[in-house]
Amino acid sequence: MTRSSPPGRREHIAEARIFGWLLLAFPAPFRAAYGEEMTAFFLERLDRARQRGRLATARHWVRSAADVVSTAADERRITRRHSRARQEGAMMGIMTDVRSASRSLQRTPAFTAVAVLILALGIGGSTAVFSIVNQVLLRPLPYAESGQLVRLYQYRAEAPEEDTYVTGPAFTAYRTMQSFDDVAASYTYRETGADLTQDIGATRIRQLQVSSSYFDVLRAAPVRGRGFMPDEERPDSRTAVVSQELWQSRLGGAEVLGTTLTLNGESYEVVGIAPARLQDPVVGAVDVWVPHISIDDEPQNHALTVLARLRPGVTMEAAAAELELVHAALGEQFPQAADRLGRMYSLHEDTVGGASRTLLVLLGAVGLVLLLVCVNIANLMLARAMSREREFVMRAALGSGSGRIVRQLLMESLVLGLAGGGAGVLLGMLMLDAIKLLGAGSVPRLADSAFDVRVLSFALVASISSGLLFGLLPALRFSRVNAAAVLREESRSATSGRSRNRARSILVGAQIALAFMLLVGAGIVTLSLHRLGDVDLGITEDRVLTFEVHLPAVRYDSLRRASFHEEFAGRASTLPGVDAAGAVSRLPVTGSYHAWGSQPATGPLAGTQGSSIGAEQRVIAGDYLEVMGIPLLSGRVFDAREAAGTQRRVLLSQSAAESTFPGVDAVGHTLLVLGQPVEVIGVVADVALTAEGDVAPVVYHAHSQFAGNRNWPLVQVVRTGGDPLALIGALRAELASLDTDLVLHRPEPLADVVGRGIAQRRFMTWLMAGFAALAMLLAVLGLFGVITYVVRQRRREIGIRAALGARPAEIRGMVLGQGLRIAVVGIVIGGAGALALGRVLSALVFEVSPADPWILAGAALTMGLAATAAAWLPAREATAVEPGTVLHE
Amino acid sequence: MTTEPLKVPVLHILLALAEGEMHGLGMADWVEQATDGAVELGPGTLYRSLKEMAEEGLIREAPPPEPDADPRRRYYAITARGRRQVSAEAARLERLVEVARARHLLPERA
Repeated sequence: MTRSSPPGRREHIAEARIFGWLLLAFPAPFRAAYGEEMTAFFLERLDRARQRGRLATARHWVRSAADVVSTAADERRITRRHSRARQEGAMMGIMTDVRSASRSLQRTPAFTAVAVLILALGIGGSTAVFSIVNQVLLRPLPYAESGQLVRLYQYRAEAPEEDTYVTGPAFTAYRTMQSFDDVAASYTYRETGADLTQDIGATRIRQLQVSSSYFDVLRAAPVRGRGFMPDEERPDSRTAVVSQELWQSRLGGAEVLGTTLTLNGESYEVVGIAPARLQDPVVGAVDVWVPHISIDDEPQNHALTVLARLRPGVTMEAAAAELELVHAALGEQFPQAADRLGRMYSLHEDTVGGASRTLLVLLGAVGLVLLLVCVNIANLMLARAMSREREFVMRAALGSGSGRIVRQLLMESLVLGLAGGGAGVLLGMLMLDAIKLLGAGSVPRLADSAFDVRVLSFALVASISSGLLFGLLPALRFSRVNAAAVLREESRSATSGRSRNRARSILVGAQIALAFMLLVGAGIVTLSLHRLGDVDLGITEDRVLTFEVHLPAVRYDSLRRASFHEEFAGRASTLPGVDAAGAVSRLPVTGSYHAWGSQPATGPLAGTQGSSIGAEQRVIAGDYLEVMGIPLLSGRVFDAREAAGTQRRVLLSQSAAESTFPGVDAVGHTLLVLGQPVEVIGVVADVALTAEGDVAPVVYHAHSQFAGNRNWPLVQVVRTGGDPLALIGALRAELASLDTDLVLHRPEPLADVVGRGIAQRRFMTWLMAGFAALAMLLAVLGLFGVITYVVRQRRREIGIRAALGARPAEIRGMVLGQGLRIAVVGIVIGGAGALALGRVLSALVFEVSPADPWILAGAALTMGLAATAAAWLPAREATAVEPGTVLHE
Repeated sequence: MTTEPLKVPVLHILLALAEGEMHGLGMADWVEQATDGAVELGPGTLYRSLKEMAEEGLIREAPPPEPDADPRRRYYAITARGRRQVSAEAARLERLVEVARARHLLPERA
């Protein structure tokens, strides 16, 4: 043993550092433990080698380096293997659990298939509905920082619930507000479109008149070219921004900036191309934007749709406060319109607000269905667990650890949940497509619903929580099972059998309660829909075709316009199959439009304060009243006496006549419409303004007299004896014979137009009915399963009874009675739940009380019949029990 | 109680420590001397083996034999287990030598 003195420090710093670098090959813990010693070892030997010469030194370096590197590799390999083994120990547990769970599920394929299917239906349905809720309610609007966008409305102080469009002076004032970064107006007051004339002929496209800051407000600047300048906001501007979609499809995607489009017979220069998929928040898809919006200084002409973007940091409350000040100033400037105030809503709320209640109720319904699915599967799992009870108990007795078994049960239900969730997502995508097809147009933004990350996360959470929920019950039951009793074959005893059956019966009762609630809900919305269908709208809506013909101002002056509609109606009425033809400025049952102040100039209310009413103004031509089946109550209808330029005459609806000339015959009196006197020559019956049958006073003008000052496009209506759509060809030909460049636009039966008002309700009703049907099916299956099991369990008892002389009918009655007992409890609980939820539903019903006894009775009867059907087969099986075989078992 | 043959570094370290405790350099020097340079223990081999042998309980860290020894050096001593292992290995090798002698691979002892 040699003892050498510690190496001189100064000489070895460099070598120590180099050796230190070599030592980095070792893992850190090893270095920490032995690094210093190894370095000292190396350096001492280096000293000796130096004494022997340069070759020995070099050899020492090389051998030490090689030794360090090779042993370091070994050390690292050993360390890695050890840590992996430790990790794998933990991982092994989970992987084996998952594998044994799948194997166990595969051993009962029927159960697994049914459970996965039911789960897929539940998760698929709820995911589909959630994706709709996500798109419509939760996702922000497709504009940059859409939370800053607001919609502005005006309203009259004496009718604060009626929001209306904004006037020119108000818009001009809003543009000066500090709270807004940008304010834009668009003209959505009427469905605007334009006839685009190309070499291939004329087609109708969607046109929107906008102010210059429109693209700024939406932060959607044109990707090619430019938007509009403030000085282009003139009625004679002829520039246009086209949508990407129009550019690609109709204009060939070629270089289009600077070229001209022919819109309504006039030439427009294309100055910009909008970003892809840009839609207007109010009217939806637009093909071309034009800046010739008319912003006048009429303080009583409400025609503009106004959007604004809040300045960053400005709250809606602050903006609303400034809005009040603006209107105070406007009131002083225009005292006659001082009662026209303004308010704003967030654009999101404006767009989707109406649908939110419907959707939330739907989400609740689908949640119920999912709960029902879970209960159903819990029931199935309980049955399955009961049959494996002996196996579990024996394993526990042999030391398997009951915690392990519970973990396995939970793992099985988790695997089942995830499998059902995966299948459910696929099924949900199909369901979503179907819903989008059925419900098109009924709910805003429906068409854009899709499965995104949030929706898939929802599906994942739903799968896992369902899995845990329905797996919990069997797991809990197992942990409390009496091992000794099970092993002692006393599982046949009445007491333990009954307690297990009670659990299952309670579950089935819960299923029936949930299904009953859904049934009541479906009944309520269906009855509402039916009642809506019964509403008398005041018109005969079948066998009437409607379509639009737009007369471009460039070729049709007021005189030609006046004569055109009368001439076209006259020609159309001579066509074979046509009973009558006419036109109107706005179809009934499509909501309020052109509501103007109308005041009696003569008669009992003449000159009195507050006698002015907001009456719907309608311009009619041809035999409109006859087409729609609106009877004349007194006076006469329009005829040749109402030529252009003659004394202005009108017809009143009955409610209008009663409001302005109460107690007298309105015929012969004079009315002031927007200050202009008109003579009342007739009174006609009321028509509904909305699909719910609300009536509003209407003032009818003759188009031949009206066309002079305003070019209101008229919707043509034609009554026929047969299918309205069959007339389209002939009418198109007739139109072309008058003017080849006119387009017969949007032909559809009147019934469809009217039906759109209730599209949302119909959509909701279909979905609720679907859920109720699904729920009933699940409840029936659940009841069937339980009763079958009970019958099998009580075979001995049934056999004994049969041997003692019980007749088949008695045995059947016993089984049916069991089923009905469960059903009745479920119905009662479900009824209580339905009444509790009635308030939630009441917002959506129409002339139906949520606690309608007929609906409740009907649902109870349906459920009772279903329960009887479910118990029927087991009952028959019970009567087939041979006393002999049973007693010898 | 047959065990696998000991690895070369392990065997020689145990031989070195059989007489008393040593530190790393001392072991390497002794082994080199005792085998006439046939077995050279590099720093990596030596200290990895020391780590493994300590983990298996064949050696342990020991206080230095002389109170004024360099405190930075770590001394190791053989354990009872280590002694058993090296004895068993020596016996195995002895049997091996007898086999070789029987096959006339070794010169006869004088």
